[in-house]
Amino acid sequence: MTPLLDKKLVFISGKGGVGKTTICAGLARMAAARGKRVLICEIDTDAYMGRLFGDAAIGFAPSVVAPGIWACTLKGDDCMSAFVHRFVPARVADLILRNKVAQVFFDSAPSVMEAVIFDQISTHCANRTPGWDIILIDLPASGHAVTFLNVPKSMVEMVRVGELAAHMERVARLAADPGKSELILVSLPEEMAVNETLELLEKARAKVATPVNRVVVNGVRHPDVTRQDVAELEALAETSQGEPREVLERLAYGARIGAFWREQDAEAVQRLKAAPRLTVTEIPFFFTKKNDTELVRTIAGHLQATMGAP
Amino acid sequence: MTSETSTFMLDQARLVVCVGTGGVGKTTTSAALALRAALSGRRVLVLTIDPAKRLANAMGLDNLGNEPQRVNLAAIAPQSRGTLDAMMLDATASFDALIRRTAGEQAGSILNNRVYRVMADHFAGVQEYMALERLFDMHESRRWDLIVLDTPPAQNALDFFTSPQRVSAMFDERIMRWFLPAEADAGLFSRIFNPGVVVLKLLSTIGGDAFIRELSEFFQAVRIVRATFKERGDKVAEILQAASTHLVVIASPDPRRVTEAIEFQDNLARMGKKLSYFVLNRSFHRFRPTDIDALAAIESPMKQRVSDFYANLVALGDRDRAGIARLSGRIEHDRIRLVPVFGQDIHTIDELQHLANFFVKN
Repeated sequence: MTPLLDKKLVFISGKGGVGKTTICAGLARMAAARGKRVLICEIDTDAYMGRLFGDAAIGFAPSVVAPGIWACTLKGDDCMSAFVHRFVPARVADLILRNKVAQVFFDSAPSVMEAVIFDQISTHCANRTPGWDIILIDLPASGHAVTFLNVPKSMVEMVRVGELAAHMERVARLAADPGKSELILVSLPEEMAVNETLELLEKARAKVATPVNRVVVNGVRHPDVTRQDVAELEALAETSQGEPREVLERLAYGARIGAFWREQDAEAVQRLKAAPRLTVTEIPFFFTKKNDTELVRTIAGHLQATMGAP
Repeated sequence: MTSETSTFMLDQARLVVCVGTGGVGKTTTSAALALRAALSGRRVLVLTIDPAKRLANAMGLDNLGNEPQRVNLAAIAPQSRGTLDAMMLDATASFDALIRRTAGEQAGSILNNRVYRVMADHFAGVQEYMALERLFDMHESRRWDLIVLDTPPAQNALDFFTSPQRVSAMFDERIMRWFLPAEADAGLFSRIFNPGVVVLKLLSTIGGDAFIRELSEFFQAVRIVRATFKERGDKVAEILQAASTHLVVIASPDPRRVTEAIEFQDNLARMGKKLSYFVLNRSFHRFRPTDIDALAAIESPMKQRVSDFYANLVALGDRDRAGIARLSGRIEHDRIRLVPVFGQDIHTIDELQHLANFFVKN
């Protein structure tokens, strides 16, 4: 298995709300700390990433957000414009892009937006100044990840000749090279999230050429509270009256949550570890809110332990 | 007052649409809302997308199907006049079925066209659109008093509401004309100033002639289903606008999620749509710092461990109280529902009913 830091193209996916963007930022910090030049690409979303780097403004053109880290937001419209401008003279390009009917067509035609986004990623890959060592791609929620990763391949199938086909083939080849690319999955220590991660793992391994070897479980809790403690608090509540009873019931309710997390989180991590050929990295849950930059640095430290090996 | 408002929604609405970002318990909440209405005597259908398997089992849905299935309520409400049906959505299968139904003899050539296959499997709006398609059928059948729709997780929940427009835009007559054989009587003017000629030329430069041919075939074939698509799309839009339709956003009380939910409401308002309720799920607001003091009097080895852990819950309580305060500053109190965090997953119809109780009393 090629070490993560030797890869060129790293995709990050997971279901909505698992903290994909935060993990992506952590990976960038980790790689930059090892001297890599990193580019983060957010796909088709308004920059939440910016908040994780001291409210940096992130736009279509890559900009520096931290030492050794660049970031950009790849939106369909911007990528389309860059794409069309490459093929036709500027005046014709503007005519096409401004045409209402053409806009509707590009917006709704199958995979067109995804294809032009990939085209932009491919352009960044080939860029020699500053010459990024690693490009991290924060994919849309997992429902669309396999679709998205298959776009270059299906475009090559659909559009067999022409310049678009040549571009897509280049990206498809890079994304399929296990020495250069990989897909990292982000999950939560919850039953549903683990189900979805295992499904995505299976689907991605069956349908996408990009290898999947690593999963990050975000927000693992290890409460030191047991069912026995819950029972003890419940018994105490039984023998009390009025407000003290209410407080004890609330403490028992809290302890029940702790005991549940203790079992649930351990089981979730265990299920992921049982999957074949999968390295599991645990990121602890942070109960007290850190500021975003500090949070990302802490996460980078945890990632370093399992993924930062040279 | 609060409970009356909520009962009113579940008693009168014909459609409740649950929206929200992923990971907030949308599917479970939709099921609980539907159950609540069924227990009050209505005939209810919950239309959902891939619920957790154990939740599906709890609702008696072990064989996942694209058709409504009756949930057995006998165990919790033997006397109930209401009924609950649940159905899961398979977007690709539904799309194929729609084409078969509407395209007649042409169906085969559409279904085999590679542009169609890529679109049905890969086009990002298809899932959202098919949810609305099924909704239309179910709504028109009048078999149910209320339909609760659990929408697909979308990064931008607004995508859901614009999906009929996006899909029917694909079949825009003006675009289709680009790909149809030139009409003999078309004037020189319209042939020269047809932007389609420019776009087609661009597409063939970058995509090759074979791609254009396939695209052309696709558009000619789907021309037949276009009228149906447009008509149904318009009717769905009408249903979504109806006064008997309520939109519910599901979020968590985390201030960050609350901000997203408020932004969502503002965006909806710009589209002329009104959000009826905010459900804040898995709230820790009940855990207060003073609770820990009560542990001081207890003589037990667990004292320190529980106290350490409880301090974490209090931190989450502070976070959630801040989020709730932020929402209360913007939204009338009786449009907010708080659901406390449960110390378990929801696996049975009993647990679902327990959750459902929080929608009527706050």
